[in-house]
Amino acid sequence: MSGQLKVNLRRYRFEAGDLTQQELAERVGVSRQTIISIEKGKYEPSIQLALRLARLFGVPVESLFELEDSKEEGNGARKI
Amino acid sequence: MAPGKFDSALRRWGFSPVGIVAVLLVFAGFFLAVTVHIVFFAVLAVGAFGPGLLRQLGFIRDLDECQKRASVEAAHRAFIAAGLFLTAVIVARNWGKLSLGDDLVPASLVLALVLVVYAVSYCLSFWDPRQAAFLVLLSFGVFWLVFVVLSHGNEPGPLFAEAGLVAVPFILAAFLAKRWPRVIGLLLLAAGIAAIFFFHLIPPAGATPERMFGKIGVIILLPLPLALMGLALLGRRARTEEQ
Repeated sequence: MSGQLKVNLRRYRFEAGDLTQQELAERVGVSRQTIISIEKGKYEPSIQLALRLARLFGVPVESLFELEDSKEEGNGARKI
Repeated sequence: MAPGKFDSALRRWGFSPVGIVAVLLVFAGFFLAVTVHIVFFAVLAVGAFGPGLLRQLGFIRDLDECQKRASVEAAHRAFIAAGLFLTAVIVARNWGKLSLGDDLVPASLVLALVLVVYAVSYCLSFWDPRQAAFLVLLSFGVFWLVFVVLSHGNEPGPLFAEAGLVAVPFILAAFLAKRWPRVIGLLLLAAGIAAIFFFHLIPPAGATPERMFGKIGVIILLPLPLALMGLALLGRRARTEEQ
C-alpha cells in the first residue's frame, strides 16, 4: 500500500516572499488550478513538474513532497 | 487589451479560448441544425470532438498535466457510461430475440467501435507495439474463430474456408509479429487494404443505410485492427531507428 503524500508547497510559496498561486503557476508553466490541486493533495504532480518546482524554490524535491509511510509499511519495516 | 493579456485574463477566470470556441460551435451547430438544415449538426460535432481530436494529433497543446489527467478521467467515465448505456439499449431492443436487430445505426456497431478503439489504444499505450500487436491480433483471431465455429460448426467446407481466410491469418500474424515486426507490419497494412476490396466493403453509391452500416461493422472488426497494428509495427521500427 502506498503512503500519503505530504505537500509543503504552500509553506515554500510563503517563504519565497508570498508568491501567489497564479505567479507560481505562470513560472512553472501550469494553470493556477493545478497549483491549487497540488496544494490540496488532490493531484500528484509528474516528476518533471516536481523537479521544476524544486528548482524554482532551490530546494530538493523531498522538501516539497514527503511520503508519509502507511501503517502497513511501518509495521512491515519493524518486522524486518 | 493585447491578445496575450486577453488570453491570460480568460485563463485566470478558468476559461480557455479553445473551450469557448468549442462551446460556441456546439450551440451554433445545434441551433442551425434545428432551424436551417441537419447538415449543421456537423458543426456541433466539430465543437464537441474537434478540440480532443486536435489535441490527440498534437496540433493544440493548451492543457497542462493536471488538466490532461482530468480529461483522461472524464473520457474514461464517458466510455463506461456510453458502453453501459449501449449495452442496455442492445438488450432492450432485442429482448426475446436471438439476433442483434436491424436498427438504422445498430447500437452493437457503436459498441464494437468503442471497444475496438479502447482495446487497441490501451494495448498500444501500455505495451511495446510488438506485444500489443500480438495481443490484439490474437484476440481478433480467436474472436473470429469462435464466430466461424458458431456459424458453421456443422458445415466442414465453409468452416475451414472461413477459418482459414479470416481467423488463421490473424493468429499467424500475432505470432510472427514478434519475430518480424516490419515485414508483418507491411503485410498487415496491405492485408487491411486488400480486405476492404476483397470483401467489397466500400458501400456502393446509393446503398441503403442498413447495408452501409453492415459494411462499416465488418471494417471495424476486420481491416481496421489489421491496418492499425500494421501501422503500429511500422511506427515502432521507425522509432527504434531514430533512437
